[in-house]
Amino acid sequence: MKVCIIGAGVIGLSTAQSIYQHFHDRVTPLTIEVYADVFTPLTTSDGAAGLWQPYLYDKGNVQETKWNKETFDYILSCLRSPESVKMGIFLQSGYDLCTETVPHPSFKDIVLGHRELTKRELAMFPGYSYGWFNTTLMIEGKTYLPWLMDWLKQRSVTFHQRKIDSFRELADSGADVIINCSGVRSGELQPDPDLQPARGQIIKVDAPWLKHWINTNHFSSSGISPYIIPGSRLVTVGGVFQVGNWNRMNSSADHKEIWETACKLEPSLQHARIVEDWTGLRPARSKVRLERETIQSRPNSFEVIHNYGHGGFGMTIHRGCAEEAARLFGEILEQKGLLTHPRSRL
Amino acid sequence: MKRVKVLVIGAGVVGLSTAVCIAETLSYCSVTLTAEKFSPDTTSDGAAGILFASEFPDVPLERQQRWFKETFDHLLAIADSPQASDAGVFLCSGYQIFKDVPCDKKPFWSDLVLGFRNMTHHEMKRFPNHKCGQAFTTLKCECLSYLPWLEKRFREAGGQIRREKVTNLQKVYQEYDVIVNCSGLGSRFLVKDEEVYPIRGQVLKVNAPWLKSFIRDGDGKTYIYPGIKYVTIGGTRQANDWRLEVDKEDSNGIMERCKQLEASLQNAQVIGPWVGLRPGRANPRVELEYLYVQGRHIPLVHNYGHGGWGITLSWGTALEALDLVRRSLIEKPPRARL
Repeated sequence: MKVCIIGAGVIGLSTAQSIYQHFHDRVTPLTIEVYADVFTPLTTSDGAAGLWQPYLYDKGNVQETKWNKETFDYILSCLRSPESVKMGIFLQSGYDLCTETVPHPSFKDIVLGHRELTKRELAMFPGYSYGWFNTTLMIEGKTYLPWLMDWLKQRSVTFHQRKIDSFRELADSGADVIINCSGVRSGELQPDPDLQPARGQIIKVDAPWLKHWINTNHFSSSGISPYIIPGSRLVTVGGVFQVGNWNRMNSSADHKEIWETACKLEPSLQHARIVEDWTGLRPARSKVRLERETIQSRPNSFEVIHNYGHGGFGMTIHRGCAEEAARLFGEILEQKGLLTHPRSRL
Repeated sequence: MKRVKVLVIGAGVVGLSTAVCIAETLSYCSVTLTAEKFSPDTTSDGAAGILFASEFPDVPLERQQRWFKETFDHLLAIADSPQASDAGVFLCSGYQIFKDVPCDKKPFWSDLVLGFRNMTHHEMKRFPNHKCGQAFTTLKCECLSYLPWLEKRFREAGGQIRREKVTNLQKVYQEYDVIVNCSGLGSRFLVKDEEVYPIRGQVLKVNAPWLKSFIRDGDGKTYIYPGIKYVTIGGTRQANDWRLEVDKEDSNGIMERCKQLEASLQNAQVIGPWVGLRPGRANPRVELEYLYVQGRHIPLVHNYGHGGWGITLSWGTALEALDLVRRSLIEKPPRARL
């Protein structure tokens, strides 16, 4: 059984991990290969600040809330392990700011210590009249992805630097199941009008006195909704979400607006040293595409599991989706009669 | 008009804060600060600087709250300004957890910090050996940055600095009109106050930049305070212990206890230990005394004995000392005893 995963961002790598964990001792042989044209530190996941936070409201998408919670609980349990620092995970508290009073978010009971901000706290953020304080997780892509790759390499998962132009290409070379974790460029493999880039630009800053993340939620305006997220080394400052913009180059106009807005939000930033800018394209979609597809390819057919379209919450939802993708993979194995039941004890 | 000459003794956080308050407020005063030790060699420099207080037995609660609140508000304004990084002042959130003592009683400063509440059941899961805890946001004020920042402010207000140890107040009476004693533990010798005693504290500085929140055990002996350049873990509270040397057993004990609270510390590189002697006293001494020397009444304002809460109470007690200086210059001094 050969599984080929397209994409080596957080989605591709974590899916490989879940498939290995669930099936390496139930399918023999199980060959897992990862194909991608970019690997860490050049993937979209690497640029993300890594703050665990879904969008405020799931709009009825209870599946996504379930996958988010699964990811949070899983990473929280990993904090106790000696690997936690190598995984790039840690807790951080912070402020979610709103310009008006709004209902509680979908993740209120998933994160730790979620509560409304007091008047004195709001006084620190002029222009914002409501918000929440909570403690959540950080999952730093630049550390988490190399950790995942090491984990997989130790278990004989192989990596191939190559751009895949079609699913058939992999099917023809022997793939039994293809897992499409190609993120924002999935449309090149199979047209998807629902998938769009949501361009983000960030500024990495040296400001080690900042110990809280600040996230804003502007409901009425377009443009900048600033955020300031301290990492283990640098602080990520950002706030643009430009749907339909494929430009991977840093824009100085965006830089200026992001910087000015962030300094208003956090005056102490004014003396911080700017290190670099980075631009990434979030794979935005109305909802995550996580489903099977059987593709007819005379004389046979092959199986594809799609796992893409995680927008700005890839790190937040990755584990839940990886486990679901593994479950779908299990379905395929069952259907093909390949799943051996665990050996009975003699 | 002849300027009033004020001498402030001591350049720790209390001395510098007091000197700045006087120099910036009383334009008719010319202020000199004298001390044996300056940053980075003062006790204040090694302190983690988390704003947090313990209740003193004999000071009215309202006065303790005023000391805390005035310091908190002063530092919060700095944290929320472009000066924050130069001054080394920033907001820090975290937990105080208890093994035995019930958390029902709210500390006197609970409304003075931000967002004070009891920890949730979910939050307590991380600490299986502890029964309950408090969560809040307070300030951290790092004296390695804050003292030089205060010194700059002092000079800009016309203050003068003398690097000199004062061992005998008699000598300085001639030169100055008012003396302000912020000599901390040194008051034991300088003004013969036997109620001042050292409370030895040892800490370890570690490199663990992924730690963003503080954790403190309610017994005050185990704490983890993330700072700008490193994390301070501690500690010890050894009364009447004058040793400034590092105690290896203390270091081991600190690391073991802190690892219990935060497992990831096992991956932290230890930068080095530090030892300081807190100026312990049942209550801080913030009061005005008059000394009668060679036909003159010299006001002597005391501002020392803050124990482990020097940074926390620095601005509030400095403002009170300023008030005492002002009062001493307006009031007629008491008549000489015959």
